[in-house]
Amino acid sequence: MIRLEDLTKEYDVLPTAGKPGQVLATDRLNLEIGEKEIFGLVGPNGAGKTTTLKMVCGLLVPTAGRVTVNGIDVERQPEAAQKHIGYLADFFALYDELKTWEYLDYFAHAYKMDEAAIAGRIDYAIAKMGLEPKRDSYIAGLSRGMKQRLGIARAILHDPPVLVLDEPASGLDPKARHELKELLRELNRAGKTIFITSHVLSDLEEMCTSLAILEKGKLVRVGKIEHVMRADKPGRRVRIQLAMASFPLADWLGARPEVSAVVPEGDFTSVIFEFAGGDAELANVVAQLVAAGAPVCGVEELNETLEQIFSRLSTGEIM
Amino acid sequence: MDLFSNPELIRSVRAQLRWGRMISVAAICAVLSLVVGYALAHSGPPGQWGMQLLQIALGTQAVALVLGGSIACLNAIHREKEMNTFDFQRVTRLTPWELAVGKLFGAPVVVYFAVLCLMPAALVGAIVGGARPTMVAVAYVILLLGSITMHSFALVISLFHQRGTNTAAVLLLIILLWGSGVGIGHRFMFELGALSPFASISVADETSWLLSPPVAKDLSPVPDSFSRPDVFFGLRFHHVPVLLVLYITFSAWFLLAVTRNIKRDPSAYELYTPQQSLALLVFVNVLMLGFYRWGGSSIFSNTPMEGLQQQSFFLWTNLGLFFVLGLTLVRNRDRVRRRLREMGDAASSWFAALWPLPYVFVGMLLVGVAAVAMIHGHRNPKSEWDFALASFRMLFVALWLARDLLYLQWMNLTRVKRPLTMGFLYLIVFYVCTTVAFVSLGFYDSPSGQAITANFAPSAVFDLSEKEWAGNEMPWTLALLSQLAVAGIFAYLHRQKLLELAPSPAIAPAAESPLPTVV
Repeated sequence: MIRLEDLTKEYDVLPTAGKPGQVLATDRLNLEIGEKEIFGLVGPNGAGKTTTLKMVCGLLVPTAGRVTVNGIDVERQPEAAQKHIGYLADFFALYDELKTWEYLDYFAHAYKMDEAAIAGRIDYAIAKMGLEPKRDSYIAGLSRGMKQRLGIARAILHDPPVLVLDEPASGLDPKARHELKELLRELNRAGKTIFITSHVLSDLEEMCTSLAILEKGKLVRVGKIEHVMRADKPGRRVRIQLAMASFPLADWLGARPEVSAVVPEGDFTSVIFEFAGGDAELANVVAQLVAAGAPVCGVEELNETLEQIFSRLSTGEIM
Repeated sequence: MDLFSNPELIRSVRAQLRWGRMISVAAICAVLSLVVGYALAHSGPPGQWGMQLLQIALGTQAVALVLGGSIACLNAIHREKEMNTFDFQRVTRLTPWELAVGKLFGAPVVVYFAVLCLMPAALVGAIVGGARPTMVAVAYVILLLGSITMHSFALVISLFHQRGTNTAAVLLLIILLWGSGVGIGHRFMFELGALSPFASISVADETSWLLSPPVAKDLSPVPDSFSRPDVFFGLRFHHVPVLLVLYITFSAWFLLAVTRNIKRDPSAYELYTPQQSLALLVFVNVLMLGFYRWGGSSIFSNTPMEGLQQQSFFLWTNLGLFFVLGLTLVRNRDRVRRRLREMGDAASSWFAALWPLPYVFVGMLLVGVAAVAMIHGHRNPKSEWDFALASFRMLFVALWLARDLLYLQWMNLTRVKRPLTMGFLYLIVFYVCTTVAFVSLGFYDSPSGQAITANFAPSAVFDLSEKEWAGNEMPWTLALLSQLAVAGIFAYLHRQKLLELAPSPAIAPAAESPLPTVV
């Protein structure tokens, strides 16, 4: 659906001490986002996320490489490609002098939607984003969150098969964020491909089907979400909790070959370690531990969150 | 998509013409019309006050439409960029033409409404004053088309306007307004009436379409009048059709610049293609040569112009025009990088290092030859004229331009903030300093001194006459060669920049793209 081939964007900043003036915002990105995916792009500020999204929408011309959307070369046929894209920028303004419905009506006509379908689509977008009470309100009077919803309503208005959303949750309250997640899932179920960036990594972790981590213009991880979440992990991280500190748990575990990186916690009643075996092996270890007299009261597998993976992989260096 | 269903126009109408605002504007116009009409009605006979009312109404409409509308268009795109709403328009399916036309008529929609509100006063004035209906209609056509031309130009400025250049943008607009107004009242260099839309105010008073008979060539600036024909390559035309044709053609040129860029990435903006730019300058030169008053005097004296003086006028004008053309053609780092990646070594060859000379230099020679040929044919036989010297001057100015444009092209590839602006400012500082130094050292007092100054600040070439040329051929030829040498140095520096910007092995497209860690 979306294909990036050797996508490179080079631009200039003023050189400062120790830093060159020439910057590669994206460095030969190769990416294929399949149909009906929710693809998350994460990275620190200045990693090149917005630049990538703008090149996908045809708003920036790449220095090298190309982008195709639905098989259409975005640089060569921008208008044909843009027909398939709904775009939301990270920082944007709306036309304050217009009413909510007028704003959507303008874009419905600008997207050259079928005249007969426009009223219905406006009603749908307004209802989907919970903007019914504000339908006839001037945009100037809307709150930040409401304006963000209206921006999303505009992006989905013409029913594009691809949504490119740059920080869509920014400015939304927790309830609206939850509703946005549900909406994106619903749109995805309805067949939309969604290319999204967000700093709320827990949201991406919950809804994305695939993910890429971008660092200084390069992809450092890309793949299905479950694979990205498990990548590079030497083993499973497990915590065992004892009822009382009457057993030398850390020493006992440290002597076993399949166990590594043993870290006692707090008052020595619990230990976190990395385990190289599967479920059966872990059950065996726990059984042996109980047999050895350890008062085991809890066993828990610890999964790394996306935020932790991101912190581990990203230097956080801004270009 | 017709104009009235253009979404961009409808958006502007909805945003700007709410009931409250419409009522306010209509009320102000009505009060103004009534007060002025009442005051005039008591000042003289109906025929007189009617025409006065028409002129005042038309004048107010012209000021509102030309100035107010231009200011609205000047902000139309620039403001959207500042608000970050422009990208959303760029990703819609509106064609560049639809977007440009929507902005052209949408941005000044309040002004159009105010003009409509003043129409009753103008019509009452026209009826009471007994104005000829065709003349009133023509006055409005001139006003409308003239305003559209100004608005189109303001849109071009708005599109290319960068942050922090507001003053320059307004100045450009003022220059165009002033330029179009030159000639109101008198004709100087051209046998062409005033181009300003404000000329429509006087058209409404006219009663006859008849042209005045041809008169013997008049040296001094002549009073302009509605009956005086415009003369284009010896053919006499009424000013109204000439004006309308010029408005339409220049609007088309301005709108071409807007439509070919409005949906582009700003870093890839290009006013016109090199061929279109050249065509525009050839078009302007055809107009200048066609309408030129060959028998006229200079603006500052009543003496007939010498052939070399006439050439100086064309050289100066084309130096300015081609300098602007060169500025639009110089490539920025972004464009150079793309060319280097697309074309490889060809984009950093010696020929590439001569950019933008192929168009500018050839164009300058082309129009220079045309001017020399026209002067040769039309000059006063007694005036000073030397074909070889005229050709030398033309070549000299072309090389001077080449030298400065190669310098600016090189500067534009250096990594500083606003390199082109910086380069332009350095150029101004260089010319001011060298001129001050040469004046204080008395170099301009002797013909040989002038030839020396021409190595650095070649403006002395415009005053180079047969008298000054005689005996100074060698220093002038050396000055010509020095232009060539300096142009060569800047071409070399430009090439070094091109080589520097060529993709390094670290970022050059690899034979096989390295894949990220796919897990």
